[in-house]
Amino acid sequence: MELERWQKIEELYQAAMAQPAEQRADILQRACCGDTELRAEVESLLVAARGASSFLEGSPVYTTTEGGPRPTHAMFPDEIAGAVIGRYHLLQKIGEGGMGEVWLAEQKEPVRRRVALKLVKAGMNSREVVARFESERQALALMDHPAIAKVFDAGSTPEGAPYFVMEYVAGVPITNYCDNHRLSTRERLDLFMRVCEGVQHAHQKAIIHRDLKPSNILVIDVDGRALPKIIDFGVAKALTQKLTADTMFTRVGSLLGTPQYMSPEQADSSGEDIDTRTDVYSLGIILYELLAGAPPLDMRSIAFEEFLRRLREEEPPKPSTKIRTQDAAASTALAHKRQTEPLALAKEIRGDLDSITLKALEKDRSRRYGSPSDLAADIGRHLNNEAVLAAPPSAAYHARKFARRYRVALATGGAFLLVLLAAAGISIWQSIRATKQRDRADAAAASAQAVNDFLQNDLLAQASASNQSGPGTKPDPDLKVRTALDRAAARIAGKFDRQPEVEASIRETIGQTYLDLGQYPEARTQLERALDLERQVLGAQSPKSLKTISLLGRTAFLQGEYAQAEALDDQALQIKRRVLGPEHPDTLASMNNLANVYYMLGEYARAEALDTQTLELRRRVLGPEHPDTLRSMNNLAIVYYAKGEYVQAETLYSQTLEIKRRVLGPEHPETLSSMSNLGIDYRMQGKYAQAEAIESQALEIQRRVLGPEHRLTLNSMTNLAEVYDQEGKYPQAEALDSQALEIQRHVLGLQHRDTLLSMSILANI
Amino acid sequence: MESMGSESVTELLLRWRAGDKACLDKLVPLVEGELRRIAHHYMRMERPGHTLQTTALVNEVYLKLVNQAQVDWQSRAQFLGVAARLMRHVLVDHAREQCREKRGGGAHLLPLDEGLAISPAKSAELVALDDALHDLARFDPRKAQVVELRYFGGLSVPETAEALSVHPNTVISDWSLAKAWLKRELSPRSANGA
Repeated sequence: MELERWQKIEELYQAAMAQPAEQRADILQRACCGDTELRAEVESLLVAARGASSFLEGSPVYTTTEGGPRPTHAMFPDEIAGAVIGRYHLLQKIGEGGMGEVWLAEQKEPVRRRVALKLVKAGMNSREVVARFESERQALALMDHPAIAKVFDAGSTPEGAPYFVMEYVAGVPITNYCDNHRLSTRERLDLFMRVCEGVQHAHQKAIIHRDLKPSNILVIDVDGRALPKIIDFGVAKALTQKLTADTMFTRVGSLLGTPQYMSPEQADSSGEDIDTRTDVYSLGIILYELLAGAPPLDMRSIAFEEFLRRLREEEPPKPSTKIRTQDAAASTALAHKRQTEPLALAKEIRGDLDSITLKALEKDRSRRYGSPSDLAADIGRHLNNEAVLAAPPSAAYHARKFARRYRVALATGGAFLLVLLAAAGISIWQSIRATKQRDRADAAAASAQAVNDFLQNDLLAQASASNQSGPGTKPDPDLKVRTALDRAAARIAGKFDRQPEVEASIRETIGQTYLDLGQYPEARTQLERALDLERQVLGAQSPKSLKTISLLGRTAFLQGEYAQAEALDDQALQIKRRVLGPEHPDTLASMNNLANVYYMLGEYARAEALDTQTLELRRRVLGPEHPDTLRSMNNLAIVYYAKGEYVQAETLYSQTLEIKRRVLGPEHPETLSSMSNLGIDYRMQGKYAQAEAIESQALEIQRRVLGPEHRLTLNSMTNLAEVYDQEGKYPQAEALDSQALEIQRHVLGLQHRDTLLSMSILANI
Repeated sequence: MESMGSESVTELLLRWRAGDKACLDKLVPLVEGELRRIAHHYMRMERPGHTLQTTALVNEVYLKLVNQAQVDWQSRAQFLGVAARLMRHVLVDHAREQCREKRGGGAHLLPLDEGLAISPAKSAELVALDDALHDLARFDPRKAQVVELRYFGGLSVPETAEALSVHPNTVISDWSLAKAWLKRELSPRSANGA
């Protein structure tokens, strides 16, 4: 037999086999073009194929203990491909599982359609196999859900081999579908929730799937909508054997599915019963893959036992971490398949989705979601901007969620309410701590409750009420919040007469919010009153009082009332020096603040002196590479710069930059701003070449790391443009300028919505 | 040939996988010995009527000889490929032995509880199959390998695909044509003299 001829024969054979039996003759006729020998050859093979269904499908070895060989060929007819079983014409084998085969078949009546026909694999005739097959069929027949492939019919061949007929799902595995169609994260979550519903349905029928994996969840398009279908419940009612290396491999029919999606308890040697939460785990792995592009633990590259060990013992990395730790090309591809960019994707996944996924993958089953519907519900909460059960409980978290959720109702007012709640959360905690230390636990709890109630009922109710102005008008969001705050401020009076520390907490919180809103006089009023109370109840030296003094100092600073700021900061510094000591980091922070005031007052000599002192102390107490030390270096450099002492400034800037580069990395935002500072200094000295070099370096990194629309990136663009200008490189300067302008225009549209929120959070937490 | 030597099977397997072809020669006798031993063990232990699956046998050899902690998925597939080939040798050798005896060579009869139990008819079939496989391998070695892995080794479609580094669909279509061809060749009207 020559190779070329054989290849031709193979081609024809495969082509013919893909067709229904009655059409094969025609195909051969056309393809063989008169080569009768070729045709005869192929035809003889097709005939042989019909009789070869059970050929070589069994084991070559028999026992003799029953006195004779026991044949292991199948119990169904020799004719299989092209054959008819019941009213189904078998067309093509489309799958092979542990104990069964799945064939694509055509049903002629009562309705003409394609179906999937599953039968016991040739060579498997043991009672055990048949029993399992039957229980799979029964399990499937019980279910009736759009996300589960339906069973239409069942029967046995004349030889006694059982089969059943299912919905034919011409789909692709869910992971492939999502990638091929580039579904966004939200779309993937929607699809996934529908899968959970299906599994939940099975659980309600007391059936655990046990082998959920992407290849068992096919997705088809129906009227433009993606529909998942769970197929293959083949192991659904399997024996509850523990899964170790031997049982995995020596089970009848080879490896029982892939261990990639297996839960820790399935791998555990103590052999616990499998319950519905096993399916939750597998769903968790699938969710992980949909979000992060790969499962948390890839079994392909490690030894099987190592895989089992890690599965049992190691915590999976968060999906967002997994995304982050990929190289640029991979993460761009990943994000692209989700219709987004890498930075945005990581941001999307970080937080709730991380928590939800990890909760589904908890090794301790009692900590997992109890059911697929619980998992789906939490995803739903996330999509609705509600707090999810999986998230770590914290006031800040709930406040954030609350704000996001009511964002629609409250416009950007939500940002400030968020601040309020978050700050309130913190101050409640602080107040509780303080009071607990004084053995007033019950009172503390009551206070906390009181504060909470006040915030929830008075303040927030106010906020939503105040937003119910005319439907068509675009409200000034700041106005609404201000109104809410004003009313709240008014309402406090008299409410907490016997709980002065609670009143102080609230006033401080409200004061801070006014401060963020730029309402300095109002902030002043609240903070002063808070300070009064704090001095009375806790004493002038208490941390809370000190904090309030600092806040007042900052308020004054921001108002431009530097003299007042100086007085307040000095006061705070004196107290701290006395109470905490002259070298305490907090004391040093106060020194820093005071130096800032001097700087703003234009008193550079005093600023320089104080900054130098602070720097020295910080170097000694905190170390030469501590962030605060670096800040001091920066501040001192700025003073030199302001004095026109550019060379000395340059020295300090360079030193700072060198340390930051080394300690934080060349792409850290702080390093980048140091680069900018140095660049500006170079420029002032006329060292344009150096300025250009460092500014363009910074810009390149910022573009890449922060994005082209980040505030700092825009700054750099402007700086660099100025350098070009000085150098006489006017075209470059212009180009950069117009680029920057364009971006700014675009950003302005987004600014109100997002930047405010994040900046407020940063300001207070 | 039964002694394990200073190099363990695992080491040999890993080195073979890394490209040291000579290790295969050392690997084979070690595996074969174990295979025979386990096969005999199976035969004595099996309940009446219980069919021996070569899958189980091959996997047991694997688990016995190879250190799970060191070997990954792909290596297992390669090992199974070797084991399947050995299984074929073991079985066919035995079958040929039985055939020779049947033709009145006067040689000792293997007692029933020793060696592998293959019926006389089956023995002849196995020998014929082996011959046919050799023929097939001459113009389509991959299909012959598929048969060896699946029939003698009891490997599943995915395992076969892994061992041969092809797509499972390739295995399925290879299997189909190989069976058809073998069946045709082994049918009475075209029987070679056996």
